[in-house]
Amino acid sequence: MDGTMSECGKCFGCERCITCEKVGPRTPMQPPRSPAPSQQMTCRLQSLVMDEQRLEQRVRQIVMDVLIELGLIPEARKRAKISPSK
Amino acid sequence: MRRFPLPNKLGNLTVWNTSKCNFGCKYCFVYKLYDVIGEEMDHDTIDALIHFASHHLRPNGGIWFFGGEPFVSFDTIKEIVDKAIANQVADHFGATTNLYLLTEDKIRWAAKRPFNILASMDGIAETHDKYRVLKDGSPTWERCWNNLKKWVEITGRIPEIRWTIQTTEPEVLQKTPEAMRFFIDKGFRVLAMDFVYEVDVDDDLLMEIKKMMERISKVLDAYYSKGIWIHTMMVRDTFNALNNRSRTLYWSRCGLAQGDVGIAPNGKIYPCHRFVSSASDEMLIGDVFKGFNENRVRLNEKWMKYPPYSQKPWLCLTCRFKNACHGQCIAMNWDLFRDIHVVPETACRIKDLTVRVFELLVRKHWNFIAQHMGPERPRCPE
Repeated sequence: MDGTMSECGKCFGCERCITCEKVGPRTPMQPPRSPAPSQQMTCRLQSLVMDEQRLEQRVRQIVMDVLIELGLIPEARKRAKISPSK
Repeated sequence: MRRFPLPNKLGNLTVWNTSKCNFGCKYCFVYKLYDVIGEEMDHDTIDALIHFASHHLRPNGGIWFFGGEPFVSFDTIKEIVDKAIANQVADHFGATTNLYLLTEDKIRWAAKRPFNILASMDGIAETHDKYRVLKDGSPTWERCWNNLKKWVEITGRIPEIRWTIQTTEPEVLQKTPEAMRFFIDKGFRVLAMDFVYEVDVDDDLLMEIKKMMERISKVLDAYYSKGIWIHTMMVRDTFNALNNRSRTLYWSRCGLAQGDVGIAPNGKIYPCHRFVSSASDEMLIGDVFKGFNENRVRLNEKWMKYPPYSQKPWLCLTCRFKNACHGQCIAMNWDLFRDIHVVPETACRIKDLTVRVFELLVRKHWNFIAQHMGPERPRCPE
């Protein structure tokens, strides 16, 4: 994925595209462009889904922080001694 | 529970064409924890793989070889690449290789195709030969380096260097900045240097690592000041940690078969290439003969339930890397803890230290670094 083509092959450079969220921030070389009219509704729906997903992830992250702060997440014990990487 | 929107088409298949290897690296995860049978992919499995790719690989997707050492079984590489090209199921190819078996013929074969390599080398001879040795313990650096030079000369392609830093070896830590300069001076610009995280580090070792990072920071400062871009994971991680205004979202990531899968020599499919060596049924998400099973979705749902956290959870509360952390390598987490959410303490301490040491450098060259940190998500080099 190169940030210019979505999974469905229809990327119009929307600012808050679900695909580009995956691949990180857009570079200055790729300024946002206006979506084609037929794609506007799809992109808006994608944005809404993305907002909801973001919110859900944020809430889960905050809850985890609170649980850690309260000492409710125990230290994990290793099952394997060593398996250094390749 | 929400169903994760998993794409039907993948961007990459990481194929273990063989689990055999000619090296006996002292730190290799493949043979430390698991007894991987020396298998090679047979013709039936290769045909099924091509059929699977025709359904599940995007037209601009790629096939990447891993193992074992892929070039131990060059015939299977050739068969897969030629069949994939003939059937138009993949756009590009490559292999993670230790370089030792690259001959002029093999390089010329690759040069005629869209085939690249990720070269596994641990710096100069003094650092490399400490760990990357043949099974009888013989050194390998000289031959690997000569083959790497030959690759660049014939193909004109400069590969990324996959470089493992042996975290527990002060001598290696001391020589790494010098080794880094050697590779940069020879024209290599992408150095995927990463630590061994599956070991314990004490405060003395952390101090050695800090000293090494400070010296690397000076090396990079000199090149960045001249406008020469060197991509390192340390600068990338620091930039991401400082650039994110809040914590990065953790659902979308590598290692979960969202855009890439690992395929074993027997055709079994795992969420990434590293899980192939774990060979656990809990992580099995299908095979090339029948396609994906329901475990692919189940695994993603399990991941979504709660965010990753440190082996020592309280480290998360003050970690400087936190905004860029999405759980490190989940296959490593699985190998160590049988839990993809738990990040080993050593990884947490080194990532935190990375941001603390490289912050000055990254802030000094912010615009230069931002210009080169493209939108493409780097391939997982673990």
